[in-house]
Amino acid sequence: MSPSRLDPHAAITGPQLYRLLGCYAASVLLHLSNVSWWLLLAVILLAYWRLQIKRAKTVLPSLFTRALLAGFLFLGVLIDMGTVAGRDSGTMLMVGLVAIKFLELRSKRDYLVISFVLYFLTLVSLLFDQSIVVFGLVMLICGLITANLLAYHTGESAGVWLPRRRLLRLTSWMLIQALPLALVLFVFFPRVQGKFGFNLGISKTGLSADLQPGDVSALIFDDEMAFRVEFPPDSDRPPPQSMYFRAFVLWDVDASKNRWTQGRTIDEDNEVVGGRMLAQTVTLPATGERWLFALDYPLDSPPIEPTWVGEIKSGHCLRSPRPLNRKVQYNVVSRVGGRLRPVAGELPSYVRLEALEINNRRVISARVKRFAQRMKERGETPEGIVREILAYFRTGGFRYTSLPGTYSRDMLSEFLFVRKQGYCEHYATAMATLLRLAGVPCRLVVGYQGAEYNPYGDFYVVRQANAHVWVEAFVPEKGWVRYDPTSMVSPARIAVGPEQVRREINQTFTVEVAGQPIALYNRNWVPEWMDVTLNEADLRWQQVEQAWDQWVLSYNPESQRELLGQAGMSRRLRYLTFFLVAVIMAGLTLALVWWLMRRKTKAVSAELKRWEEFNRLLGDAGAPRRRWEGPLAYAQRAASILPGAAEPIHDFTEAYVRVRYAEGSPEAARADIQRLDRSLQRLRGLLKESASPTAV
Amino acid sequence: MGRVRFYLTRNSLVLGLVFFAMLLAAINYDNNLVYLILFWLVALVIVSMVYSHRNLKAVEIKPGAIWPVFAGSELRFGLQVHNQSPQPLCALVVRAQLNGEEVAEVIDEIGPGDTEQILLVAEAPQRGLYRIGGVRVDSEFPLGVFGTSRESTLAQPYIVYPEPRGESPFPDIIYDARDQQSGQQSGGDDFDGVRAYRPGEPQRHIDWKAVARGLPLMVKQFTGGGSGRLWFPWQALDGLDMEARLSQLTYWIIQADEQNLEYGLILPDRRFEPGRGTEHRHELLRALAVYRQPSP
Repeated sequence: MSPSRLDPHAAITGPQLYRLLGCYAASVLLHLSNVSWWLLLAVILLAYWRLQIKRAKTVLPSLFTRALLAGFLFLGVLIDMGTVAGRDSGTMLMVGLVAIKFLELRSKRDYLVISFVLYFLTLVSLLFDQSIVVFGLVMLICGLITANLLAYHTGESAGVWLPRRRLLRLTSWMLIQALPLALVLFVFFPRVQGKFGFNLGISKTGLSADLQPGDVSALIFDDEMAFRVEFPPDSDRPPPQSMYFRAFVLWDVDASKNRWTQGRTIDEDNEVVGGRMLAQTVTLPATGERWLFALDYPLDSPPIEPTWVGEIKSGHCLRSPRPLNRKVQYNVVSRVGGRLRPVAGELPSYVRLEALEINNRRVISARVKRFAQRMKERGETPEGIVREILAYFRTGGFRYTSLPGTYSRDMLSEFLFVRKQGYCEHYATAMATLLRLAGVPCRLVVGYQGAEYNPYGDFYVVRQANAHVWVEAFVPEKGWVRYDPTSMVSPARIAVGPEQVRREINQTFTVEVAGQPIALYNRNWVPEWMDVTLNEADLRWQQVEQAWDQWVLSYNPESQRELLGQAGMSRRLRYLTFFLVAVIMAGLTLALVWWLMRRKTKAVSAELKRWEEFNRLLGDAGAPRRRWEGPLAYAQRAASILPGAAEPIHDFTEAYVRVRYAEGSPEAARADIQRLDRSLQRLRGLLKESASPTAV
Repeated sequence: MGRVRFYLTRNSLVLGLVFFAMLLAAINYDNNLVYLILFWLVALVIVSMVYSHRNLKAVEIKPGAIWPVFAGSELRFGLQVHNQSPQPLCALVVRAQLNGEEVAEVIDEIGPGDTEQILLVAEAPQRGLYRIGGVRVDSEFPLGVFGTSRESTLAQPYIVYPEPRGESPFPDIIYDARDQQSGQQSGGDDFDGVRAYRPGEPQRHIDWKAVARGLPLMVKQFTGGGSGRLWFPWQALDGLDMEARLSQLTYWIIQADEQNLEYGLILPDRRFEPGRGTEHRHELLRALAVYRQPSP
């Protein structure tokens, strides 16, 4: 390796700096939601500083200053994020370090290093979001960086703000020519799923692993897609309101905080009986957790082969073997309308203990305990007790709201007897605690209820706002039975979905939010007719996203092996195949691009071709051109050697020089090309004439 | 012109590291989109090789003007870089070995079919006859990821005259019979007009006032009254070593030429009849430049 040989110390011009800063700004904009505000402010200031240095032609800051800035950056990230490792901190560091690197941008070498790192910075945004929009932007910005590199290497652009049109065309051409090879490499590069699988950070949204009243209601305004479900075409699907997607089960409750947690893993031996089989394909964005969603109740051994395998774990929930650090797609089969019951028939004693346990039971107020006792006495059987509690919710003047206000420490009694308003988690936790107090084994199930059907793409979208909590109680003979107390209070929540609840809430709570209904229900101000249009557009966009996910996620190790017929191949052989294909394709690409450009070259320089022919003719006739001779000097000499052909020689040269070196209209050039042809014709004739007598 | 060669640079290494980091990210997160962009960039680099190759393939280097110089002054070597293709050529660095010193000139762009004149400048420390060693064109077009270079077969000779230096006065003048009335050979006081400055000439007679007015470099010419015949014999400089002798002879020739005198040169192995004019001067200086002690 030899050092860079194109003058590495050439100074950077103003426009070159502005263009690179532009690329940087575009890249940072892509990370707008991934970096903290203080860092954004800092890099804006640093960029402004760099611009001022350029404008005022002052010196760049010293190494000490830059090291100090880098130190502050590390410190800031450490304080803000708690670590300097991982994806999120790494991105922030990179954003900051590039800004500092601008402060030592002096030469070509720095310029290229920044450009290359910008490629990476841009690419990293795909680790945060793999949507079609972000991908498009990443491609665009990579194109911009490439165009800027090209501009840097063409002299005329050194002093211009924007690269010329020709340059953009060149960039586009190169990027397009690179695409086929890129696709082949993409298809053949051996995929090793989860080879390292380090969780260097993923965006956590949606459900939290524990549950405290207020957790789920915070999600009601979150329109983000939680996941997408597709069913086989023409399958018999349950109506959206009875779609209960199970995520995980909460066993443990701490009464002092009214907090439910998953507790330790409990091995149950359950089976699902009855109902009908329904296959689902679920597309799930990265959650960083291991839970997988499936309709109640998922099967352990699905009859069709899944492309992505989960296991049934504690609480009969589907778990992934690894945390989901990327968007995944998996198949699962559920028995819809079936029943979940222990294989043994009876609840094993250790499960029963777990399902009745209340930590810090003593903090529960006497009134609640008395109430639970009354329910138990009135209901007698577990099912009877459940019925009593649900009846209390239905008739006790309860109201369903996402803004129940702040409860005191003794939430249970305040909720049950005083305020009587809450979201699904209030009802579910209250009911589960009452059941346990009454001696009925039960647990909380966290998941999603309801879905939004997209008729264009024939799939369902489940949003974060659909997050839900319900109770599963153990009823002898029947097994684990789902009870949803929310449906007692707000049938609309179950039947229509959170949308309806939002409307209701909006009407109820307009005053409380100081006349800002928009904050509560963000589509409130939209006129009716536009609502329909927006809804339509929303559904169409969902369809595009679904197709995109399908495309992006469907290519995995299994489908690669299937596609390339590599099922039986060892890993080494697969790498060898990749290598061979890559080399062959790279060669083909080079040849193809070369050929494309040759053709273009030929088409453009019609006069050069004729000039070569002219040289060849005269050379054969005994007047070869000397290497250094220009057209006019050569014509002079050739005419003196071949006086008989002097006229066409001068004629040709005159036209040639005009076409080649003088500015002119395309029509004039075409006329001159014709003149070249005529002169060549005459020359050929004359030379043949003069050659034949000597031959005879 | 030779083949177009590719070589890796420090920038290749940097981009290689960036690509490696991208690959790790793609594998770790199993992210198809990262794979796709990574391979797209890799393919872009491969495609750019064709562009680099074309960029240098169309370069033709022709020798341009080269002026003889005196040792100790600057050697200026003109080169014509011609673009044979209908596309513009970009980011060329032309480099040549001049007296063992590498000199380079950057050309940002040459239009289709155009020729760019460049001037390579180097110190000329030693008298003698040389050849330009290895003219090479380098480029990092289009992306700066790797370098391309192409050697030229051009082997242009050039000459460095001895340094004009010496204290000794002119030897005796043998006056021309035709022009007896003038007895002064050194009367270079009569202004005789100006002519263009030739690179390599002493700067003593440059018309600096004209330069200050923005005019090109001109040399004031002075003539003495008459023209005599001068002989510069090697033997007249007995006390000096060889190089000092050559320098003295060079100095005399320049002086005589400036004063438009007729002069001849006698070397141990050659003899040049008196004459005047540029051709004559160059012939004599050339003989001094390549002079070698005849073997005894």
